[in-house]
Amino acid sequence: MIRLSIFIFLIFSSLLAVEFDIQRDSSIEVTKSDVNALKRYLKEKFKFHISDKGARKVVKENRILANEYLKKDLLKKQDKDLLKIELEMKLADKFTEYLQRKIKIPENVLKSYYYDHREDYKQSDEVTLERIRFKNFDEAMKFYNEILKQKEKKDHLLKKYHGKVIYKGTVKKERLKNSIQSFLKEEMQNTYLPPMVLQADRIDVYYVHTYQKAKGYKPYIKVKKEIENILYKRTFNREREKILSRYSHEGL
Amino acid sequence: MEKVFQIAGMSILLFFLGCSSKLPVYKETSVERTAISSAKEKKLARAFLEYWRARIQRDYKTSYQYELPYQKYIFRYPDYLKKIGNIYSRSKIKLSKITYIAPDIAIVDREVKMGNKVFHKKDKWIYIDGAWYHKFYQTILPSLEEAEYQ
Repeated sequence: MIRLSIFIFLIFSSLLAVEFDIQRDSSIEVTKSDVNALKRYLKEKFKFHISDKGARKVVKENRILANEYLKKDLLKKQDKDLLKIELEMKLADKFTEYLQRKIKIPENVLKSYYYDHREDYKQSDEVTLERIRFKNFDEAMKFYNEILKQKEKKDHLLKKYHGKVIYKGTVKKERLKNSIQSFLKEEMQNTYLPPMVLQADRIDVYYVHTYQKAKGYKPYIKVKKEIENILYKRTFNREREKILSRYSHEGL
Repeated sequence: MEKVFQIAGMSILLFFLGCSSKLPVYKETSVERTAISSAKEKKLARAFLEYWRARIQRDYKTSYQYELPYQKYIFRYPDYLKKIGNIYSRSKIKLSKITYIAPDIAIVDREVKMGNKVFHKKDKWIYIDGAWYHKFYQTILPSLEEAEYQ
């Protein structure tokens, strides 16, 4: 395992230095905690969910490549310095966030933000749809062109072009991919969307049964946490300055 | 600690000002009587009178108390002072109409008299836990809509 060691030295009890080192592994192994770390990273950074198996594979592959890089002694001092600076930036942000979140934001502050930004907290529109999967783009395209002319022959066309309904139900618009959302229009019903290629052998045609416009707003209690995060972000620099002022005796 | 007492004192003052029945009479600010039709609107009118009087008199400590709590959380008083400007000094402001975009969100039409010129502006006020708060708009390059509220 690549060991990322952080040593904190207290020199004369006032100067603080962060030192770290990277060494290659003697054997490639992936722990459960590595898997969880990658899953958390992808979720926080890209809102992307990955299975344990997939995460383990990605970690292992990266680890193999990273170790090879170290084995060949390609990590130069200037790259290490850059990594150290990045790490310090992350630790500094984490510390500021940690202290910031210890101070509870008053309820009327959160409520006032909610009322003033009500439009951002509208309930999502809902779409009742079917997802039809094809293994071949030509067949998907033929199905799409023909179904537009003869909607009543759906079952026959599905059979003819080997289409399979893989999902049927009602979903919130915001949960759909942007590419699908861009096709959706208010009051849309009984409409087929053009084939969308996921992979060479996975092509989807969406059938929009109905589109229901959202009514009302998300309740305050449901978005409170989100508002807290927004306000913490908006005041992050100020809090950082405040924390740093405590260290003014260290030459800041 | 002193600051906490000041804020608490101001809040108590705002609360009692909101409770007393008669609207104060000021030379800087006024209210079109026909615009008020409930106790809640009277409370709004009072907040409006006090808020704009403070702005006109450059008593920004008082006007700051009326700004939306989340805006005060983001902009501390020194930041507020930097943004406020004093475009309303020596003007007269009148509340002319109240409309609602939600039960607790009011849009107030106000008439601003500067010399012999009259401008028509708007205000957004939000009712939270029994008190009305003003939305502070101040940007260097406001959109047309924002400019109406500045």
